[in-house]
Amino acid sequence: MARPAKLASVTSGELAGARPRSGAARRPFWRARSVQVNAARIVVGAAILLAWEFAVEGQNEVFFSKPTLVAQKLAELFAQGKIWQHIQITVTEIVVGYAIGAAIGLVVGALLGRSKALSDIFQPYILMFYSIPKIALAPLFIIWLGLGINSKIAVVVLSAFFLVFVNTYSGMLSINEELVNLARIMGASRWQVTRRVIAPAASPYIMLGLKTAVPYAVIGAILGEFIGSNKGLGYFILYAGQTFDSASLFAGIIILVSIVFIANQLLTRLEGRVLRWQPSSQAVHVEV
Amino acid sequence: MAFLQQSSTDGAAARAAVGGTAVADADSVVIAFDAVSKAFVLPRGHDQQELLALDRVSFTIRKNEFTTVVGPSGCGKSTLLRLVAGLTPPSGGRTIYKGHDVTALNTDVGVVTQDSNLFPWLTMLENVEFPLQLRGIGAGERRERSREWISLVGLTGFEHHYPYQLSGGMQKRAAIIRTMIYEPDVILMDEPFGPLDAQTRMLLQHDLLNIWQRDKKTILFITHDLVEAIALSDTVVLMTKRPGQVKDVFHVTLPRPRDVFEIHATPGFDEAYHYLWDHFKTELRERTTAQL
Repeated sequence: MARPAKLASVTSGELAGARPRSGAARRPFWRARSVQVNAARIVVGAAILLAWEFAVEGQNEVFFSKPTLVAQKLAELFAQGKIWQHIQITVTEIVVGYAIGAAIGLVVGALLGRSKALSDIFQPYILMFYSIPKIALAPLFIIWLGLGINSKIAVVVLSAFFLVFVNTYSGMLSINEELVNLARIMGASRWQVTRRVIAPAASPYIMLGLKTAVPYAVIGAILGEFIGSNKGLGYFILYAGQTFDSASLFAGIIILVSIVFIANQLLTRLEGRVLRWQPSSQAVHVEV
Repeated sequence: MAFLQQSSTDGAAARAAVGGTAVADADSVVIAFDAVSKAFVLPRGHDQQELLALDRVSFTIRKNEFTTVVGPSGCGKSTLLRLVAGLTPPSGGRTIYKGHDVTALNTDVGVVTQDSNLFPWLTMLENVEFPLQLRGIGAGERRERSREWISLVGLTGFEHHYPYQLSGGMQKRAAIIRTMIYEPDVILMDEPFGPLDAQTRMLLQHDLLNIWQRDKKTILFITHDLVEAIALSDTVVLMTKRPGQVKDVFHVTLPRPRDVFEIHATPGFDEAYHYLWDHFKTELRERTTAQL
C-alpha cells in the first residue's frame, strides 16, 4: 500500500527555533533584538557613569570617587604591577577552592540525590552546617589552617560546595525515572545508566549549580581575606577602605567583577555545548 | 460467521491453561499471570488505605501472537505490563515469564511506554541507536540498522533532530523503533498511541503491523480502544473495571494482513466489535466517584 514519504509533516511552527525566512529582504541590522538590547544596555551604563561623574564634587570625591578617577587609578595599578600579585592570589584561592568544592558537591549531591536512605540521614546535618554564617567559620579555618592561602581556599570550598551540592541534588531528584527504567530494561549496566542517563538528565541542574556557585566562591575568597590576610584583592579592597582610598576601592571591585564575568562567560560557553539539546523554554531557573 | 472465537469465558479457564492442560501447546506460552493481585497504598488523607488495582488475574500470552488487554480506565491494565517488566512486584500471585517468576527488572523484554520517553539529550538517531550502543555494537553496523528502521517508519531526514524538535507522532515512531531495533523476543506496549490524533494513530497502527509481520514477535499491547484492539490483535483480553479481573478472553480471527484503514469494512469486524462492546459497556456503568 503506497504511502506518502512524510506521514506526519512537520510544520515550521513545530520545529523549535525556526525563524521565518520569507522571500522579502532581510530586516536592517538595527532592528534585531540583540542589537537593540545591547544598545540599550550601553545607554543605561553610560547614563549611570555620567551621573556618577557629574554628581560627585569636591570633598565627596574622597568618599564616592568618580569614573575618571577610578579609570586613572586602574591604569596606575596595572602600570605599577603590584596589583597582579593580589589578583593572582585571589584567583588561585577561587580556582582551587571552587574546583575542590564543586567536585565534592557533585559527588555528595549525586549520592544523596540517588539514595533516599543517605539523603534522609545526612540532610539535617548539611542544612545545619550551612546555616552557620561563613563569617563565623572563617576565623575557625584560620585557626586550623593558618593565615596563609589554605584558610581562604577552605572558605571558598565551603561556598562552592553548597551551591553545587544543592543543585546537583535537585537535578538528581528531577530525573524522569521512566528514562532510567527504560535504559535498564534495554540492558544498561549500572555504570551505563549513570553515564548515559543520569549524568545527562541532571546536567541542566548541575550546570546551573556550577554557574551560581561562582559569585559565592568569589565572595568566600574576599571574606576570608577580610578576616585575616595581607595579600589578595580582598585585602587590597579592605586596605583601600581603611585608608579612604575610594578610587582604589572601586578599582578593586571592578577587577573582582571582571573575574566573575570571565568565569561566567566560560561556564556559559560550556553550558551551551553541554545543553545543546534543550529548547530555551525549558531553561532551568535560579536555585539558590 | 466464525470470525470470532471465544477461547475461554472466564478467568478460571485461562488459569487452567497456565497449568498446561487446556492449551494445546503449553510451550508456546510466553507470559502467564497466575492469580496476580496488586494493591497500591494510598497517601494519608484518603478514606481507603489501599487501592486494589488487580484482583487475582490469570491469563496467558502466547508466543508470536499479538495480544491486547482492553479495559476501562483504572482497571489495572498498565499494572499488568509493569508486572511483566519487573517494574513493580505483585501483592499476590506470580507473573511467569518464559517459565520463570519475574522477581526483578526484566531485561529480556522491550517496553514502549505511553509517553515516548525519548532521551531528550540525544538526537533521534542517537536515541534509536541507544540499545545497540549499550551492547557495544560498532558504529558501522549501528548506522546501517538504524537507517533501515528509520526509513521503515518514514523518519528519514530527521536523524539529527532533538526530540523537542519532533512532533508527537514522530517521537512515538522513534520510540517504537528504538525498542524494535534490538529485537527483543517480547514487546510490551502501554497505550502507545494514546496521546495521538486519530489519523496519526491509524498510520502508526499500520506501521506497527508492518513491523510485526516481519518477525512476528510476541506483543502485549494495552489499550482502551476496542477498534484498535480488534484491528491489531490475535487475542483480546477484556478486563473488568477496578479492581481489575479478567472478564473474557477472545480470539480475533479476522484475516491477516489487516487493513487498519478499512478495518470497519472488514468482514467479521462488526460482530467482533459488538460482542466486545456489549461486555465492555457493562463495565462502564455504575461508576461511582470513589472509583475515579
